[in-house]
Amino acid sequence: MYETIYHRPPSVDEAAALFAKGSESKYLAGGHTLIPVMKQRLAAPSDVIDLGKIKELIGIEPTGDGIMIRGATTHYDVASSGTVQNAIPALAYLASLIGDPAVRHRGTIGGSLANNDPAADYPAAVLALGATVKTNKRSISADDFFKGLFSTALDDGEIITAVSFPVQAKAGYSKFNHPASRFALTGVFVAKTPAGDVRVAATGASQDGVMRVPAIEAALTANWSAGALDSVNISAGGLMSDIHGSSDYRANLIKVMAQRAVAAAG
Amino acid sequence: MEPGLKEGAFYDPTNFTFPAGAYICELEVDSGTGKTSFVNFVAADDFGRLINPMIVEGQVHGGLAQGIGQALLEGAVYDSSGQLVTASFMDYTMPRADDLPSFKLSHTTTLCPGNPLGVKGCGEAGAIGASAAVINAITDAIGNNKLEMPATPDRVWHAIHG
Repeated sequence: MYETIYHRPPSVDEAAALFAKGSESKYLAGGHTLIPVMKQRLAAPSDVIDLGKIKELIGIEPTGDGIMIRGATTHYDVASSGTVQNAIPALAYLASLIGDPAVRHRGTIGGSLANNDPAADYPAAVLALGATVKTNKRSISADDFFKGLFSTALDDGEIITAVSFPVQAKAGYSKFNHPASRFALTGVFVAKTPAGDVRVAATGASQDGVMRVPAIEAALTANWSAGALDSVNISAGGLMSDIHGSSDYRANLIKVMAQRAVAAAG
Repeated sequence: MEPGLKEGAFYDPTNFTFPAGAYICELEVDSGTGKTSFVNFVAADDFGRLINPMIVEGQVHGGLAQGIGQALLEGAVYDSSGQLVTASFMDYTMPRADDLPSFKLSHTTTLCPGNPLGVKGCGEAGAIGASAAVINAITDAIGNNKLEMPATPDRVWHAIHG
């Protein structure tokens, strides 16, 4: 690891000011991505600005039509929150599947979304639930937030302050673990709004990161049941292929995980 | 040349030891994903006289984990340019506790006539028997013998669905 300056600001505004002042600043949340790449000397930020201790970035609150999870809230806090378990149990379940207990006590929702790893769990929930990502500058809808592998709509220095999730009529998540890393080899989140709109998002599968799955959305809009997907064919085009899962296997997993997510959603 | 003494000796026992065993694996295959999960795993071995049974069981447990790892999980993979793509545990699937069943072990005792203690080797037994038992169980379940190790969910799914 190269030398760096560590900051622990008490507020979002001070964090953003420190970021602007450094020559090559990086925000630190749970640190599961930044710290390993710094240890490998693949990243050498001049300043590391820790967001994990900013009180206004931590917590979960009910809102009028859903819940708001602040940016530096850990996966463990989301998984064990009564508010989340009551409002959107599938979201609490998803958080309970991330990594292992040590990871869940450090990793944060904002860090996961800002990094936008193509096999991370949270992007599937944010996209399928039609969540809104709130930053220190603006609000970004889920459909506009994800921009491909490790890429988001966030500007340089912009901080995710919270994510708002609307409550759904139905929501479910099913994940097939990567055998080694336990990221999602493929994970699918299904959701049906109170108005009857269906949104389905798959993570771990596409070469472009998290994606909607229109064929499954159409089938579930017509008939919300696992059996409705029996005749749906998912194309392997554009899907990732590696030693743990070929693209046609991932295409199958999208369908099978979607069926199990629907079954879980009830 | 420095002066010194040199001596050699060769021990040729009357016979080598021949441990023997039978391993039975019962598992289930999820046909939608190709994922295997264990129902039962029994290892019965004859290691001659067990001087410290607890250590012997530990050796067998470790061997079974290695054998199951070889059958289902572990594999060093190189790409076409010679780059090792399984260079970290993010990619190389080391067997972990939740990848393994709760083993049932039993022993028969046939003393080895070739040494005064009546003992036989046990260190590698688990690793030898487990891989074959696991792969035989999967190929029996899916009705297809064309299955390479490690039998990852991807490979098992392709073996089921062609």
